[in-house]
Formats: sequence, structure tokens, C-alpha cells
Amino acid sequence: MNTMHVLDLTGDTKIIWDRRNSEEVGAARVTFNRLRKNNRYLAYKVGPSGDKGEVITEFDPDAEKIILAPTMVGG
Amino acid sequence: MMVTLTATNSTTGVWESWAGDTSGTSAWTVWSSGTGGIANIAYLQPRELSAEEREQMRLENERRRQEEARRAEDRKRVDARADDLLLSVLTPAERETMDRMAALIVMSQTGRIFRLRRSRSRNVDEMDADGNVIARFCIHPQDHVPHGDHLLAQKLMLETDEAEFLRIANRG
Repeated sequence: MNTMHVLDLTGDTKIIWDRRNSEEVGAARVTFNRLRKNNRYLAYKVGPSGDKGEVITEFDPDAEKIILAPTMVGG
Repeated sequence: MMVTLTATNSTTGVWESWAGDTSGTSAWTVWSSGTGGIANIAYLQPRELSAEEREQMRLENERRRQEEARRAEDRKRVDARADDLLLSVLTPAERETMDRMAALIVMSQTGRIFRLRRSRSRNVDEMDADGNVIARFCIHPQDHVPHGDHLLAQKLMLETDEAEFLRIANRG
């Protein structure tokens, strides 16, 4: 299973899809695009424990784990 | 004890009365004499609460206590969830550092070393090779997220887009 974690007030909201299931992939893609709209969230593809992340701008159904973090601002 | 303050000076404000006082009397004199026209103070005698009122008060206090306990429990659960996600993307060495120092050591794209402390503001320290802090940065997600998420967002950005991180962050 592939997962997308959206960082939020609850810790994170997890979206799971099976890349062989087009319906699940479609639903995850819709969520990804909605959150990426207007650069509200930054998206990273991360591998198994400790791998460096990679910025992505388009949904990757093969990604093992995607993390969506709210856009950063200076404090 | 309840105190009722009633302003009686209708032509000038309290501050003007105080500041413009040329009569030679001190503010305290005016207040305590009750003749200065600034305030009348009435002391109300405390009233014994009825058994019903005391019970109502006890129930209200108990409700507040339970609500606060529930919120604290929620915060703990949310923090644990965010920490779990953060730990899931760390190497064993990074996890060990996190346990030992309550901070995350991150090497940026260009090889600079940053320490991310568990704090809401100015929590990013740039370190030299000897472990001295040479710069401090303040940057955070625009939405409120728990500490673990805060650190994860900073780590991912430093590792993937250091230039943008440094452009956005306030240095101080």
C-alpha cells in the first residue's frame, strides 16, 4: 500500500491507495491536486526510513510515501 | 469582595482629571476621600451561597476540569501521532540523536549542518564543525501543526530546497 500524509492539526491525515486500484489512485490524485493548488502545500516523496526526500509537483501513484507540508513562512 | 467603580466626572475624562489636577492633592487623597469626583467606591458584603449554588459551582468546576483533562489528552495524542510520522522518516542515528538531544541534526543539500530544536520559534541553529551556533533562523509552516510535523517540514525543506528555506527564513 502507498500512503500520503497531510500534516495538520491532528498530527497528520493519512490517505492510502493501492497503485493497482485506479479508483483509489484517482481519489488520492484529486486530494493531492486540491492541496497543491495555489501552492498551499509542499509535496515530498520519501523512501524507506532515512532516505532523503524529493520535492514533487505532480502526484506519483508509485510513491511509497508522500508527505504534504503546509507552505513555510518566516517567523 | 466586590468593588463597584462609578465615574462621576462628566465634563473631563479620568485621565484629564488626574493629569490636570492643580489642586495640590495627590491622586490617592482624591481616591480615598471620595470627594474628588473621580470615583465612588462601594464595598459589598460577601453573601453566603445557598447549597444549590454551591453544588452548581462544584459541578461547573468539575466540568471545566474534565474539559481541560480531555484537551490535554487530545494534545498528547496529536503530538504522539506527529512524532511517529517524524520518526518513520529518520535513520536510526537521527532517531538516537532525537532521543538524546531532543533535537534533529540535518545536513543540507550543500553540506551545511543545522540543528532543529523542539521549539516554536527561532528553533533552527546553523552549526560549525565544532558544534558552535553560527546563525539562528525562524521559519515554520503557515498552518499550526504539532512539534513533530513542524520539525519534519523544516527537515524536508532543508534537504530538498535549502536556497528557498534560507530565502524565506528570518535570520536572527
